[in-house]
Amino acid sequence: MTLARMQVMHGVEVPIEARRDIVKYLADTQGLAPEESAGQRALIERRLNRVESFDHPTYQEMCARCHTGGRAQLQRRAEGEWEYLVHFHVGQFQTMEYQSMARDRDWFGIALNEIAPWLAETQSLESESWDAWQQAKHHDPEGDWQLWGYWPGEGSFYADVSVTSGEDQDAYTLTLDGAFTDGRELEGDGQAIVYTGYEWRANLTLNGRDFKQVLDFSQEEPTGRIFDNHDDALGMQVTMLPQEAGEAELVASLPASLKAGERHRLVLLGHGLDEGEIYLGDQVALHEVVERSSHRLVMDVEVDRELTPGWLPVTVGESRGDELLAGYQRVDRLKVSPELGVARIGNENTPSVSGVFSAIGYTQVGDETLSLGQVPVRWSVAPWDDIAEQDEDVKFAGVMDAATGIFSPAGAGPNPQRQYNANSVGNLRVKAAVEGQPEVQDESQLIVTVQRWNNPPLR
Amino acid sequence: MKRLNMTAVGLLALSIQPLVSDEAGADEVREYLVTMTKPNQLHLIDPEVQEIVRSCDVNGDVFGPGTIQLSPDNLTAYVIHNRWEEVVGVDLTNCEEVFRAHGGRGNIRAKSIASLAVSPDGSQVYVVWDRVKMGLDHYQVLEPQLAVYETDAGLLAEPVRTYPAPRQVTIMDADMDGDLYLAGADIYRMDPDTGDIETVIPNRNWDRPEFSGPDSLAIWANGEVTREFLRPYTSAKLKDGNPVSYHWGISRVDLDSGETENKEIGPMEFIVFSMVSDPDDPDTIYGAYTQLSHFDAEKNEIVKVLDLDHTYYSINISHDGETIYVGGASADIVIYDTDFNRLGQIRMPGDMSTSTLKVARF
Repeated sequence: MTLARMQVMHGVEVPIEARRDIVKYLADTQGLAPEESAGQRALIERRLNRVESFDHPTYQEMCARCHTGGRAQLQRRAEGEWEYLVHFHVGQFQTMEYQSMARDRDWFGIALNEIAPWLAETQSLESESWDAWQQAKHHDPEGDWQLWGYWPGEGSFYADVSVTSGEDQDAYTLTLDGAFTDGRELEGDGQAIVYTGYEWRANLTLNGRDFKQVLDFSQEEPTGRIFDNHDDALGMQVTMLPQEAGEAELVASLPASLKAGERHRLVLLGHGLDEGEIYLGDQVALHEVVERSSHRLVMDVEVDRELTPGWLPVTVGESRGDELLAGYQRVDRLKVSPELGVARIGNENTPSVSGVFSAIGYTQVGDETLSLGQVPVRWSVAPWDDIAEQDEDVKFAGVMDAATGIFSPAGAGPNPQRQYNANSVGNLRVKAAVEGQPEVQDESQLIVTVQRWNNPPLR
Repeated sequence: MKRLNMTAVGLLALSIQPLVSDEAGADEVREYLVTMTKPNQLHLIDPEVQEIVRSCDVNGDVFGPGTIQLSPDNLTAYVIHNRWEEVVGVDLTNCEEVFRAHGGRGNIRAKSIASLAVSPDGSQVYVVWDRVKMGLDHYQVLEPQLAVYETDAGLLAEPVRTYPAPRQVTIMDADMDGDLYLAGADIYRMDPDTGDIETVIPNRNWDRPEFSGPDSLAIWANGEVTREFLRPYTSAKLKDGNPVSYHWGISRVDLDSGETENKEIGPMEFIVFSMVSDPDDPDTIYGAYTQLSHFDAEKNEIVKVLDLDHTYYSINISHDGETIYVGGASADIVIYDTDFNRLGQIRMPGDMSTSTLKVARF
């Protein structure tokens, strides 16, 4: 971002290849150890709708009113360099001292005398974890992996991922070959660079659509996010697992639950799954094994109408997953997330930011509450309050997809059809009702607001 | 500088100008509105016939912020322009550029956040410059400066004096004695001959334990009709340290007498960006944003509120106190009487954004 600012604001000319080399060099030699970035993975992965909190009385008002507080938490500087950052803020954005939560205080003085010393103390330039990370052996991404996640609007998916080294240092190419759990194919490929020994950044194409991918390769099982670079809200948390491993184990089930009386695909992921008997309990019939390899089992299963709710005793050979797959008769409780979402109206220059909601179901078995993962619901929006009703926010702010929970905001700019020529913003109540059990509902709030004009990678 | 703008609006203005002059008579003093639109046009507007009389292209293509102060004879408009970095004086009778000062020097960049005033004799212009020294690898924020310019210094004007100024100063104005008032953390009075500065109305530093500290965004100095320097603020009334009610208030200096006051004027039920009082009754105060509002400051209550078609930033009032002008933000000025009956609307060729809406008389 500093390099981009030098180019955009100060006219520094850097060829794209040189820019990549500079970023790589700085990341490798002056980056952050995994422990140092661990608290801000959500920011790096561009997960939205989070509420931050910090162990400082005014840091949020002083700094995190314009950008995330995490942005500064991803930096390490000596005190003099933190002071430079304060000077840069006032010097570059000269109206900043006059904005709300700055004009009511001596912003510059507080930033220099209270915030900079605190940052220098909590985020000093030198750190033991960075020294240790530079000596540590890093995981090699090259090889065969499997990856899985949930693509909003499309469903759960899994894929074999093959990673091969490219010509440049720490550069890789990858191919993906997989499917959604409803059987539709999923294919893709991409290029990646690993910075600082673990920060995986890839450009991916999945079923013809372009995405960015961020993974933390400091873990044995790298996790991260694949997201649409033009609409950060549309993304999927993913996990990668090496295809080969020493011990047999069951790691994940797609979906996380089965409903009584239903027949569909069940995908089990893990290691050593190519041998041994498959048993899902007496009340789950295995009609067909669609695909079987050491790391994956794809099956066509049917659940007994009289299923007794509870964890299903999933067994493949010697491997057992006791709390991997829940069986249920009914959803007892629904939880919509996020509790407060922010979507943004947009246009070609500043693309809109969608509202992406999910609903996790729960069933009660005795004293135990079982998470069912995402369950089928119908989505709708309503006015959040009287003002939203009077202003007809539901009519103007955008459209909620009843099947997917994805809210597509309206176009940006003053709307002559609205009072005050207002933009098509809104304050909405997002409602989800379980399919077949409309009485089981949950709701959350969606603010549809105006565009962000300044959109660096770390906000 | 292009003397006359040849847009359709400009041509229209040209065609009606003789008519206005004939009707008005050569000696009659008329009232005009003065404002800026994006990107760089300064307009003289006749509110009675609701037409633009003259549009002047101001050199420098980048708008910002369009803060305007008038010379005492109202014939010259001084505007902060070109990324908040220049002050330009324009003769409103012929669009001639008569003054220009650039705040920056070398690697020091200076911007003025609406801090502009003219001395009562018209001989000096005052600007507060927020300054930053831009090194190759870091910036250094410098102390703001109050710069004093002679208005006859031409188009490459240099300050004749500079004094240290407080941070976070926005609007500024001069009283009859030539003292300057600066709206920063508190309201300050500065002697522009010596740079001596004192607090005349404490705001951030007021000793009012029953009220929260005030919050104020004031970038429209519009007291030329009412002879007041007025800054609105919001504050919460506290009980046991917790807010129990929210209020609009004003900090005000009488620019004729130098008297000051600070008081709440009504409940805070909506946002107001700028306020102006009735020239005949200082406790009758009008405000504008998405609503046009009327406060009775003596009774500390809202008298009337009208929803506007959209948001406007800058309000002003006619010298006879009969007509309210509302501009800024978008591309039209609306005119109301004091009962909020709509008298007209003037379409502008561009957005006024943060421009001041001034009332001139000549």
